[in-house]
Amino acid sequence: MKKIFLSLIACTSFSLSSAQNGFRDIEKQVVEFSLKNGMKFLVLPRHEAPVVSFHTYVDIGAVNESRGITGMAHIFEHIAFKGTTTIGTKNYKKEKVWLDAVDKSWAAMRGEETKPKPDSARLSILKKDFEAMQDSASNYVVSNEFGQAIEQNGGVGLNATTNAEATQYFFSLPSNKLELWFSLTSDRFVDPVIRDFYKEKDVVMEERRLRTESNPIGKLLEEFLSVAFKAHPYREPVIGHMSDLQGISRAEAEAFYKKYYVPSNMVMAIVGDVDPGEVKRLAEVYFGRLAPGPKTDPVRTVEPPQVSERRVTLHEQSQPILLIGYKKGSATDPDDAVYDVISDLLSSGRTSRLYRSLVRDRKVAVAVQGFSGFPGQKYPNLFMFFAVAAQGKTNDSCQAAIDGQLDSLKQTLVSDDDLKAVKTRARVNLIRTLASNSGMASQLTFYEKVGGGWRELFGQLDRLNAVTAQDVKRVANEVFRNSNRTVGTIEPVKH
Amino acid sequence: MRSPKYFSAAILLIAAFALCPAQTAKPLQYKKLHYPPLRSVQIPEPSRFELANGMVVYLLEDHDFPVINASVMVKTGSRFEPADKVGLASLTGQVMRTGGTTSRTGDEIDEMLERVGASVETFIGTSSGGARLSVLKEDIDLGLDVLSDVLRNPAFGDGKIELAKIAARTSIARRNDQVGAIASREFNRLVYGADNPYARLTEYETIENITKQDMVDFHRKYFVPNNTIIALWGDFNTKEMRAKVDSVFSSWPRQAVELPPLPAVRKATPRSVNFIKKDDVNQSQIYIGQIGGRLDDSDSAPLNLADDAFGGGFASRLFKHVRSEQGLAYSVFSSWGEDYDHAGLFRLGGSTKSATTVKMVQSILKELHEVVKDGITDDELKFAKDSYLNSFVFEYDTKGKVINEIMTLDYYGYPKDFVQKQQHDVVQTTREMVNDAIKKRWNPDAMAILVVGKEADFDEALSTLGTVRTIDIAIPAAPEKIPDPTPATTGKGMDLVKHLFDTMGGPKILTVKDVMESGKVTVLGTPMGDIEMQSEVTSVLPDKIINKSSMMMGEMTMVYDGKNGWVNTPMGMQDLPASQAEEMMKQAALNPMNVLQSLDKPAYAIYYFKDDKVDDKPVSVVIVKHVATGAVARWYIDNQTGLLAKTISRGRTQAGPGDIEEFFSDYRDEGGIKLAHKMETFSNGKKAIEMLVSTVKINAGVAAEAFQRPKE
Repeated sequence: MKKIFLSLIACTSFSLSSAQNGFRDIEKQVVEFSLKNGMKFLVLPRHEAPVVSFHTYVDIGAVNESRGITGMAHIFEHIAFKGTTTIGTKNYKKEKVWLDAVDKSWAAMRGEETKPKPDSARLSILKKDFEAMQDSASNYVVSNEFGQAIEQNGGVGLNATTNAEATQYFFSLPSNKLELWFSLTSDRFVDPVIRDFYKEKDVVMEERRLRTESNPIGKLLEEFLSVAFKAHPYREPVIGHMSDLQGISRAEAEAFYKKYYVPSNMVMAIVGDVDPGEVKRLAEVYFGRLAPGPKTDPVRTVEPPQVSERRVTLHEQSQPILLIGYKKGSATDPDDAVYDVISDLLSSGRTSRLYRSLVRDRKVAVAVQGFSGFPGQKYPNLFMFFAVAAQGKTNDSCQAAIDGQLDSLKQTLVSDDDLKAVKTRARVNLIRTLASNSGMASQLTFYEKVGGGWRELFGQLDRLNAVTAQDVKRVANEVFRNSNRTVGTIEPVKH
Repeated sequence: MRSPKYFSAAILLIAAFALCPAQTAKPLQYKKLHYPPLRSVQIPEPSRFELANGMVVYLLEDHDFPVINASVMVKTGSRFEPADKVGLASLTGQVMRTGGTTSRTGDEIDEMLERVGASVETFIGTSSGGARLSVLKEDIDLGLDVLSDVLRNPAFGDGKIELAKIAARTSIARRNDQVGAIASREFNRLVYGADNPYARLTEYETIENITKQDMVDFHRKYFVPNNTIIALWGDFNTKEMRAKVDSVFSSWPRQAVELPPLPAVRKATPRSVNFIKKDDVNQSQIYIGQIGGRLDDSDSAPLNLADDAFGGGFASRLFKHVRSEQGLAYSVFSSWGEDYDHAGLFRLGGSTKSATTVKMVQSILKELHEVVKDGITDDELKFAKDSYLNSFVFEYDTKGKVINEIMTLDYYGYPKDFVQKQQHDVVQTTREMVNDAIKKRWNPDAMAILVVGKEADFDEALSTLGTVRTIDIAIPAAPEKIPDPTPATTGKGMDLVKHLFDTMGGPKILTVKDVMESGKVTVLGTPMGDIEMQSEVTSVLPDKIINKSSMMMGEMTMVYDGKNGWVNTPMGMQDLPASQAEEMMKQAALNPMNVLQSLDKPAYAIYYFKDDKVDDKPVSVVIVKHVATGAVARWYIDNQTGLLAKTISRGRTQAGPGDIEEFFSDYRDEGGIKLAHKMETFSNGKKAIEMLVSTVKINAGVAAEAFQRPKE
């Protein structure tokens, strides 16, 4: 046993002589294949422990929503845990009758509610009727069977997230349960049933209150994006507007799913103790069932160039917070690696320029960061800064100090030593990412759909190494212009 | 006729099929799946050795990536820091690394490490301190050198103490910005007790109290090799690494360590309903809970299984009933908290829109009552066991987890096979064991309930849940910075106080032995609203106090005899806690009558501070410091009348240490001495108590028996 263990280690271990070769060795171990229906798989076998991590990346997010249904991509992420015609139900045939009845009674209630002058007596009858229908449908529901099946079989890290441009589902299993992932995940997309829909919308509304409405920073981020983008859907909140959450119907959710959850919009990464041949066989058996559908076109609307500085200020029961966002290119922009270098120079560690200026020397902030890629990376986005002012210090003093550092990037060439350190850190960071199965699975799917193909996960170092001091200066001058930025602040009000 | 040859071939074929897992040709619903057994895993065993100086070392090779990591654990923690210096451990832990060493500045260390993508960080948490290291294997010598240097020779220099203090003050200033953080923090304080080391807060005042010498001493006391464990894992050869560790750390001298006793944790939580007002939110944060358990409790496995079934995940009752079926919450949970060497917290809770606040609390309580009464079902137990046992492999899926687990068990003196024992306990647990444990340990009627939110929008009054106590979370202001005395300020201060002495009554003051003042006292903003009572306060100089009050529920007497104090109420006798007795001692020491009687003795340092105003009238502020106790008061002497308009001293307020302001007015002559007949006390800027004196008796005499502690 021990011998086998050691030989497995030998075949996956990272080349000691040169990290660069080590990355290439790992790249060679990634097995890539696509099903006839267009679904893509990326498999990296790693046998250190009998565990495996799965990452489902659906190339659909809030940017694919239209007016009136903001929040839909995220609602569907919740719905994807509600089961199928055989999971989460006691008797789907009978349940379906009630589900349709719930829809009808909801539509009637909603119709009355949205009249200019709703009839309150009628509304209360309709509400009672709606609740009664929901209760009847609920009688057939086996609550949370989907998640329970994963947990009971030893699944960990079960969760999902939706952002502006993608919906991702992930968990890890003991590797003998490989087929469970195939069974549940394919069922979830082949045969989903949208049940408990209106209650789950209530849950999502609570999530909105938690993250946005009762949270000063969440509130600021929502306002900030709506000002920073005037045309591109990055301006819309991922969680959705409250009125849309209230108004979205089950039929709309179903239509959204049918249009967008097609195999060509999905990529799956599996990293861990698996045999790629077995993975391929199971993929065909389980995911071959999904009907092909047209890959979704990129968002048509392009954010027009920004012509003047924009500003949004919230007065909250909170200490000051500062956000600054400069428009920049997408993840596939030729200058993407330059953005990464700038981000590292400005905010990686205690030797970074922003930390030294704002925290150590001027003592105006306790935390400050500048990073590339908000609120997404697929489309042109923002180079973001945030600063947390020190007690008694102001957003203005933080902003002045950040401006000073940006001016210096624009005027003075970065030293060779500094550039070399950035490149070394990028190499070390990549090694740390690779060390985790779930981290690796997530990165592979991201690069596949957003970063120009999964091989770019490894190729990024080459591009980073090619960045020169002149590049940094040029890009800083292009991006960090006052007319190209949006500033968002929280200013304290007295309690 | 079947030939034997074919027969044996067929047997082989069948055997071969039996070895392979059945190959699925068509998709199966998950319930129909069969799984091959999990490949058996050999959990790697780190090698352990001890250096001659007592430092314990664990090593584990991991050759997947050219990286080496280390974790260090040192027996210390914020639970050992003094109550008036809360924050000391955390600051020490940070500045050990940021403030450089005796041979390198902190900035130099930052440069050295970040040039090569390495990191070394130190920290001190509640129950342990330590460090982390992460380097590429080629930089291990640099990494170990820096790690050893910051652990052994921190200089606390470069102005990094001030930087860490700025960060600490900023967190205090920001601690009421996020409603979730408020709820979680205040709930800890409710269950452990506000002053308990596992729950107490860092305040501006405790940060100001911390000096560089405190940090040097705190570090020196605990950071010694025989109090330290280091674990290294990564791309190295064990023999070579052992030699390296030995050469780097063996010169660290052994030193005796005396660990203070662990803070006591109360066994039970009194039932209470608590409210914190937050009007800028539309969702309430709810916590319900009590003291939890320890990892080595005999019923730990049953309780964890119960907790998992009750509020642990997708399949739990709370998630199903409160979230999925009622749509009341996005977040709802229970968590049976356990620590290695003290009881954790049992917390239930979640968040819901303001208009369903009471409904949510009641939903959770209903589920809780039900599970305590009827227990969990066989299905729920099976689910909880399966989840735990099937995911057990994730306890060991990386070398880093393996070695850190073993080090942590060693640190707390747990057996190294503890996790296997836990697994065994889970396997053995029956439904009866679970349901007995729930009945024994979960007490729905003795839990603290906390709601943070916008009261005006609640569905029902919180008082439907019980008597509501409102918690004030106003942040106590930083203490005013008081300068040291100079000969000039001492002279001016003495002149002002002598003038006060003359104005108040002159030599007559020296004849006072006791003062009895009685009148109407109003205590403002209590859970029951403003309370009025009749009080009689007798001070026997220099340091004894009797306070008799009568109110609706009966008579209450508080006595302080100069050392100890007790309170006698209709509900029974209670001794004053040590911290409160100390507070009484300071109050007595700063009693103006006492000070004025001692002007010719060196008991007090008295000096002028500044000019100021009270109610628009110009005053001179004098510092009065009681030398023996260090207690300080600021006296605001009215320039026109020469009488005391106000005093400020530091004391305990509901929200923590803060300013206690006392305003004096309505001065009347009482036997040749001018005494205020209206006293108003403000705590942290909020009016808390008012006393209107109707009768004063001077030198009426107090019997010695009044200071005898009565039997229960």
